[in-house]
Amino acid sequence: MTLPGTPPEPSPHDEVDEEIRFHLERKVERLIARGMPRAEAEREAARRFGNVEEVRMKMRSEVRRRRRSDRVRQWFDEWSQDVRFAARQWRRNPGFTLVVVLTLALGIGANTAIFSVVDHVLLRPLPYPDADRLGVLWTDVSRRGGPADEWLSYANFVDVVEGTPAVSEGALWGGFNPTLTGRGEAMAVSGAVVTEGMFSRVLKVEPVIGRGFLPDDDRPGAPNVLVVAHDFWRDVLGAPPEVAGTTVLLNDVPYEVVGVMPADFRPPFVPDARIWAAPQLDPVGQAQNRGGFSWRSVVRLAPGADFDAARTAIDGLAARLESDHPQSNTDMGFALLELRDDMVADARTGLWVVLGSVVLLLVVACVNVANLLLARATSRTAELSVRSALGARRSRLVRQMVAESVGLALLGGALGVLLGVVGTRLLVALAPAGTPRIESVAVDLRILAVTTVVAVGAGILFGLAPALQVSGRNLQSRLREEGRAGLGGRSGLRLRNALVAAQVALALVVLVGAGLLTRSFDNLRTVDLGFEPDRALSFFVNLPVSRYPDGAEIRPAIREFEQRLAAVPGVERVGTINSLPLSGFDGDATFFIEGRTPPPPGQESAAWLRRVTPDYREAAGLRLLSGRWIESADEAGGVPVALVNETLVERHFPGENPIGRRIDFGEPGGALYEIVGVVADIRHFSIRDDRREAVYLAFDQVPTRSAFVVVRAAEGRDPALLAPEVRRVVSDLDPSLAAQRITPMAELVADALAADRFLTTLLNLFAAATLVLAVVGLYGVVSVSVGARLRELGVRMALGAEASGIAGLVVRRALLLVGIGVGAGVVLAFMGTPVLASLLYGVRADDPLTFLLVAAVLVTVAAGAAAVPAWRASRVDPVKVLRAE
Amino acid sequence: MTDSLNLLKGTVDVLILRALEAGPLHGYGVAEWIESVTDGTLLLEEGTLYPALHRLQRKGMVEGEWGVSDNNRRARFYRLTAAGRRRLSRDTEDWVRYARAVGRALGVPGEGGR
Repeated sequence: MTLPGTPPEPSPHDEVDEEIRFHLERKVERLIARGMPRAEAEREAARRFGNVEEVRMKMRSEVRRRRRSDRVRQWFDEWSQDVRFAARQWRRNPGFTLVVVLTLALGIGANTAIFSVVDHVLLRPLPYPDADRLGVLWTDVSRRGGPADEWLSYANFVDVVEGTPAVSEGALWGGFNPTLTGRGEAMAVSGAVVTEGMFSRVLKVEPVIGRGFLPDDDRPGAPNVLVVAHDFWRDVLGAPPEVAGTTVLLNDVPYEVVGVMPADFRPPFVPDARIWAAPQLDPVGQAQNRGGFSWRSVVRLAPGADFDAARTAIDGLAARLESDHPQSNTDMGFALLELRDDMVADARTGLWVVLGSVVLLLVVACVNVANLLLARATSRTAELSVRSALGARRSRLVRQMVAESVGLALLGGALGVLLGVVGTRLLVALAPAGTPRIESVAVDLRILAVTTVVAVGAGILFGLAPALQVSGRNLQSRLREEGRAGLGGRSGLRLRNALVAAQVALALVVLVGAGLLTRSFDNLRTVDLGFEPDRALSFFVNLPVSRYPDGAEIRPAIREFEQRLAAVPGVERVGTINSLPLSGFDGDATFFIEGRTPPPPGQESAAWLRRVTPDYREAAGLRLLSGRWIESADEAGGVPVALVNETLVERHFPGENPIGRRIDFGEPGGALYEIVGVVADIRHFSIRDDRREAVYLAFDQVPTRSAFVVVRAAEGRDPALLAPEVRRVVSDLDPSLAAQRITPMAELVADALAADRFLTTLLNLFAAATLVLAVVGLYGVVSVSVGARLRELGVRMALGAEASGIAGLVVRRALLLVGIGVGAGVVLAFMGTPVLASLLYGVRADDPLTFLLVAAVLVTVAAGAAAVPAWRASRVDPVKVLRAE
Repeated sequence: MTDSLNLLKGTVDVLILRALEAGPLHGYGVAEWIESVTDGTLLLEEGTLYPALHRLQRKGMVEGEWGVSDNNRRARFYRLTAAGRRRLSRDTEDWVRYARAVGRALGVPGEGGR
């Protein structure tokens, strides 16, 4: 190794020449000494030496090669020295090292995980050919006060697709959850009904075995055919190489399996579907039923068409349909969404919010690392100046500092990658069920590369900047100016103060977001559901039409279920309803009040129709507000009775007593139902506001083949433990039936809150991490500035300042920084939180209480962080400090 | 060692290493030593020593350093490194085996017995 300060090596030319000259002169001297005359001696020496010029060239090239390899070796030597030096520095300051490495790792890891999820869920194209031309058509009844994403009627859908050139293909789908029998134990299968073009023309995915649906499959009376998922073919059918001729029994009806979809096929609807059937559509009946909303859709735009043009065309068509079919289409439009947007609509805002908060976390992390490296570099001014005075080259000092920060950054990066991988797995595991495309999420290498480059780049940048500054030419003079503490001077401190204030501001933004979501989640969690889920277990049965064709068979079967289950020990009450809260099931109907003028077409009121047995109220814990509930006397053939909910009473009987009034559902010759009671509203589709009109009818008077049974466990019993009994009772009664979706109702509630819980948890995690980072940053800067002002503090104490006064001084200065940060943060948060509005429940995005609380928490924690160095400052021994000067 | 050029080059290297075994020498000293120990049998172009010395230096067999010669002039001295010492002992073995083999082949008395 070359020592710093060694004079430069002579050029290879001089060196080589000198060596040759020395040799020749010695030779000549020797020959003269033997008695040879000088001239002859010189000739003889040259002869013995050989071709001088050739030797010289050879030697020069050797010298050059040697120097080159020496330089490389030296470079490696110095680097390994730098690395060893850096490692020594890390060991000497384990706290500093740990904080920098963990900070970077946190920033990189969290960002990688979240970015990976956002990329896969929101940004990646769907796995279908030309997926950017896929869309979803909805009925838009917002002008009637209904939803903008209502399901479709068959006739309207066909008219829109056929009447809009920009839409080249379209297909419909609906739910299909039959019971599979004849292959072992009866089993519920999740599936969908899709119209013929769905796979081949809309999604453009073909079966790997057999065929897809053909136009004839949709005709009434066509044979029942089934296309199945790859795992269904493998697990249930036993993976026959040909499927033609394979038959399965669904709801007691034989279906021929005609095709198997590819193993990785996930349709954009019912992602866990394992079977698809063709609907046997009756074109006449479907054409008449424009007002019924029973289908959902996927459409494909024509090549070259864009969504905006298609929307304009569809709007024009909707107006024409409105005038052609005023009975059904008044105030009705259609909404066309891109399929990807439609799939992720619910997850979108939340994911962007999480992404935003995690980016802020990364920024705060980078600022922290910068701040720490700055503080450290300036605190080493003295050491560096000594080494520079001893002749160390400036490039060498810079390199050493960069080696240190790059090493730290790489360590942090490596740990960050690890965290990112683990974090992504964790996110996928914790994500609420139904998060679109979550199953395909994996760590994305590009994203990993980007975040690592950002964080490691920050490490290099902030290691390099102070190194260059500190090792600058006028180091000596600056060292003199700034005193022996050697702390980078006022300007360095100002920069670090600004960085800390910025951190506090960003942390406040994230904290406010987390605070708002937490309050919102609290509101959601404690909302009055209108029913009591705690001890209730629910399950679903589907009675096949073949053996339960009519009410005459259905009624006794349901009654038998209820009685047998009620007899199970630990069961308190059993009731039945056609559409369980939070199950996603319900059906509505237009209703008319007897004695009132029917409203004009398009302005009728609809109510959700629920059919319940007498014991359902107590099994589910519904609250009766007035009148009476359904009783066992309300049987088939008896007086048709109905209960209505609060919302219906408020909207249609304000200030009146609805009991005794009668309603019907607009069917010619249909029954009139006498209102016998009023029940409290329940949260049926969502925990959020769900105020819709609902009518409860007696199950016996309007039975249905698919029903949810609710079993209420006795006090102190865990309802989940009743599941085996439920299964046994159902299969005892009819071995071809399967109790499906056996779920404690509390779990349904938890599932309904899962997305909010996930979001709130993530944001709180990030907020906590950001807060910790900001506090660490603040602590670091306050400590450094106390160190820098030891002399000043010493003088103050020597002049009689109290220790408490000194501590107060330090804390006050820190709080000033925090105050500035909090002020800026409040402004930022005020501008930023409105993006949260759609996620919040029962709290406004500018909720003053949350802002106040968060600011108070920040100030308190910051004061705590400043208190440690302040306490140290107050223990300064003025004599020692001044003597050291 | 298939042709005479390589043989010569190898010979120069091993002789240089051997010359330096006893202690540091400048290039002239190496040339002088070779001349004296071989009684002038191996007369080589002295100039070829220098590229060889520098090559050995690059390979880390010898180290070169400027110093002062016995007659008080600046000269470049070469010293064996540990690697050079290892190389010398290996090459010496090779050379002895080589010489014996050639001796046996040529029927030199005393060289065929082993």
